[in-house]
Amino acid sequence: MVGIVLVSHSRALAKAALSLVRQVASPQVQIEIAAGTGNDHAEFGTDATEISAAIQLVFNPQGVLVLMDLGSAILSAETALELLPVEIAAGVRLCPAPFVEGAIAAAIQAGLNSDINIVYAEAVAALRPKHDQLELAVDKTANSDVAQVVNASGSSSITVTIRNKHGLHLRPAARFVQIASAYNVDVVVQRADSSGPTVSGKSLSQLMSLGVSQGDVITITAKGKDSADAIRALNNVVSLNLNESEAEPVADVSRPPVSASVGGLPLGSYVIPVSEGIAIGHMHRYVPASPVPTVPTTQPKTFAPDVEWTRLQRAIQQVDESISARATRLIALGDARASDIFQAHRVILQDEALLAHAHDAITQKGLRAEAGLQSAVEHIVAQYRALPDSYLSQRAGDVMDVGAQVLLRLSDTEQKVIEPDGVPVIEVADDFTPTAVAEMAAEQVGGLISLAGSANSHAAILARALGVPAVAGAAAAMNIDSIEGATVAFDGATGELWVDPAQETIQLLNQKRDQWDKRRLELMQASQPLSRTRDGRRIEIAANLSGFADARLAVAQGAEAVGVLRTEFLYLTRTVAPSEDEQVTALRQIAVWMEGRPVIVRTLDVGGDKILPYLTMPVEANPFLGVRAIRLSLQHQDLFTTQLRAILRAGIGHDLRILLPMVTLVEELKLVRQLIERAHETLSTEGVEHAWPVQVGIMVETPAAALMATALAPYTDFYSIGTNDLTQYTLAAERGNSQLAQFSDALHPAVLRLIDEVTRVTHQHGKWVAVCGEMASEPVAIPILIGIGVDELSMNINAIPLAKSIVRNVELVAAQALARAALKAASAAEVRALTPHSF
Amino acid sequence: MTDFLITRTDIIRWINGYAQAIGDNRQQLTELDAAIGDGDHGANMDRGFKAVVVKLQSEEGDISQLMKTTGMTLLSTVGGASGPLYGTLFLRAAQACTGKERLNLDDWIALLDAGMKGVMMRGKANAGDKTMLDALIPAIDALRIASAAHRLIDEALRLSAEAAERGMQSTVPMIARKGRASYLGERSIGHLDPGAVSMALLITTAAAMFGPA
Repeated sequence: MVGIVLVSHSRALAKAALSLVRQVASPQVQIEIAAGTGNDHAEFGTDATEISAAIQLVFNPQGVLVLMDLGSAILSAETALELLPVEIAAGVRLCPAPFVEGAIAAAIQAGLNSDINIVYAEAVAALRPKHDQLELAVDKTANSDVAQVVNASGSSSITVTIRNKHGLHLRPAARFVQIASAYNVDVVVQRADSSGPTVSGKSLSQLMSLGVSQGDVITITAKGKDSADAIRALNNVVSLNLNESEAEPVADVSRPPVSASVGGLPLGSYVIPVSEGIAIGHMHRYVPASPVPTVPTTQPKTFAPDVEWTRLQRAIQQVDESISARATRLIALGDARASDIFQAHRVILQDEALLAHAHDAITQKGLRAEAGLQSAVEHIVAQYRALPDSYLSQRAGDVMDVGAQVLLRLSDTEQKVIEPDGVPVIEVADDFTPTAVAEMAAEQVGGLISLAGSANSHAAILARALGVPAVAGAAAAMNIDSIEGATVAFDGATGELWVDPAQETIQLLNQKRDQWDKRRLELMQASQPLSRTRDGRRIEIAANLSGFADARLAVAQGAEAVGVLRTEFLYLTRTVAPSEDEQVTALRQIAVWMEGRPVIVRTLDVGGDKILPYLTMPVEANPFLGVRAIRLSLQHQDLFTTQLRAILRAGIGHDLRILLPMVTLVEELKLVRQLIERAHETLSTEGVEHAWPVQVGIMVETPAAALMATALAPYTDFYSIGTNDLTQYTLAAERGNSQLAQFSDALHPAVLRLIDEVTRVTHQHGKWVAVCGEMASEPVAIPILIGIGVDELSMNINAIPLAKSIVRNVELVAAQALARAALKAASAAEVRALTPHSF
Repeated sequence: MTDFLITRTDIIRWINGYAQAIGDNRQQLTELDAAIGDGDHGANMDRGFKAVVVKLQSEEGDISQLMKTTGMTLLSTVGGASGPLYGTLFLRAAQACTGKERLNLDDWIALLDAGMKGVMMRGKANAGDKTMLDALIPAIDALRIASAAHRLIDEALRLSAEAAERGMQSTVPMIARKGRASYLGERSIGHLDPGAVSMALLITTAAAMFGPA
């Protein structure tokens, strides 16, 4: 006869339950209680040793069923099994049945001398009579998965079995929430046996807290006018296993499930995932560009000034070449920001004032090349530092950075980040500057670990754009003082980190990385067809380009257009403005490489953080709120007109369009339209061939432009929403400021509502709208943007294959429901919690 | 900085010191637990470790035996979920140091690692779930790094104590996914996890108590 043990926090409860059971069960059934803690078991709690003793008291070959109330009762019962001899423990079943009802049902069955499996099943089913009595839905026949009840009070409920392999884990739960949120009804979910809490079906965290496994039965109840519809939709989606199929490559590649058991990997520490990719290597503490190393300023007069000056020039030349080579490599990788940084460094290197000062120091004062350079760098740094503007004074760091490189070249001790044995180096720092990230990407660093930092900093964006694996917030996972040279491995997609991993761990990670590489290649091949959602909605996937080299790469990766061609590359690395002919040649070349695809040319977007040496630009205390982008172009109309003419001329035989950055006022747009008209008229008068008419669009980067989309509509052919700046201006938080990381999330509902407004207006006027900016390639954001109705997503080249595969898996109806929920959310975190890619 | 091996006396001083620390912090643990749990963590741990101190007075076995007695006593006296969790930690730790007279740094790591795996298995929790593991895992990682860098045990213990406290602090923004606190979902954000606090205390007490007096 099966023995029974009742485990409760409360001695009184266990005793009372026992007397209830004794009233109905055969006196032959052996039942023991293990309950309470402290003196005389008077306090609430459970005791594993007492449970184990109770089990031994009632043990017999038929087995023992253990019923528990909650919390520690379960942990203690599990522990008790470990304390028992194996042969006894093997005969014990821990039963999840409700405590009182289960105990009665089990005792009755045990008294009938039933097999332990039957006793167990009866106990688990013990809530059925209560359900029936209360007219709730129940699973009435053993084989049916579904029972639906709609009662008169306007609430509907259904009981379903979850078939998903891993139960209601993140993705299926998110899918559930997505559907539930699409209906204006209250949805609550509970385990059908009423164990565990009743939670909101619209809350991902609550739904997941139920811990529903495969085969578990849940009851879904909806209250409200459309409750029947909501229940029908939820039933449909559950019966489709919440759209979870075995083959869902996208999420598997981009965000492997966060679980200790993935591929047999041992558990690592969890830190903030920043940039996907697996990194394994030796740790090295990254030392940021420091003040120039001190060299003696006095020296024997035996140095010939002309020899020293030649040495310095040669070193500068070599550094220039190596920076240029790095920039080319980075451009080939497809990111503008990195190349912008290096182009700025090349400008510094050729700075007249720097060279003149160094020349004087060497030829007049008789200093060596090193000392001459140092003196010049110090002079320039002091000048920058004296500027009241904090933004400009920060440029001093770049000057020191460049100066240090030249000094290193002079002393012929270049730093290497690849060790001789070929093991990659993983750089660790409190935080990285974007410059550092770009440099290390060029040096093919294995990965970056930021001890502080966030996933939203400029450095993080850059790491993603350049494909450098990175994690942040690792301070708790490691101690910086004792890391030098230790081996570390991390997975930038999950944020899992291993210090001193075992050889087997390294092998497993290598395999994982190979799979990931292979998957990326497949994605690239699958990226060639035009992008459509699963149900056929066309979503154009375009590339953000910032130079020549990446045009070919864009085509290879499956770009269907150039959504934004940043023309700054034509302007930044030089001392005079580019000529009209030069620009025509460059634009034509890119158009040729894009093989007939549309190329949207953004006019010069400088000011803010980008400065042109040949333009008088006002020193601004607040550059991002100053004369930048179209505002600057309108102040320098000759420069601007040259660019407009070049675009019109290069457009012959190609699909070139004009995009105006940071339009705020209708007046600005009208004025630009006049300038374009005038350029066309002048070209016609001159008899110069050019494309006409030309499509002109605006970048929506200010909340003003978004809210005034209707007023701007008559003057624009399309809208391109620059979400990086739109977020910064809407939430009034500078993007680079790591203290404001939580203000830098483009998924904030305020930003989404502006995007929604622009999209609505655009479609009312029969025009189209694109989103460019980091957000357009974010897996979480893509379904939301599609749901809002955005027509084109323009992104960094590397992001295109994955984005296309995500679009292919989007269903328009579901995306629209998701977008509605996102627009109603109260925070970016809530928006992220709505979608399955957010963890 | 000194180097030394952990002795039986060290272990007794550690556990007695911890019992003292729990007693001193009983109120704080209870308040933290009242915010996101059932408010019994301080009282439960205090009851359990007071019983352990009494038991150890008559325990004459080696280090492994001391740990085993501690674990068994916790299982039967703590009452709440921390009983089986800390109990399992000490029982697994006892198995990991069987037959050892003294512990070097790697032995200590192996001991804590076995305990950690026991807690993970028992609580079905992972790092980031806002549990005691969030203090314990970084502490063990710090010890491993220190060991790889051939640090003295003294410094290694100090680093692990710092890591445990950082790990404890890291539970503040987390969402609880285990135990009673998980019913609160997002409302558990902004509170220290009491289990992480008592765990950090265990590690910092070791750093303070081990070594020549």
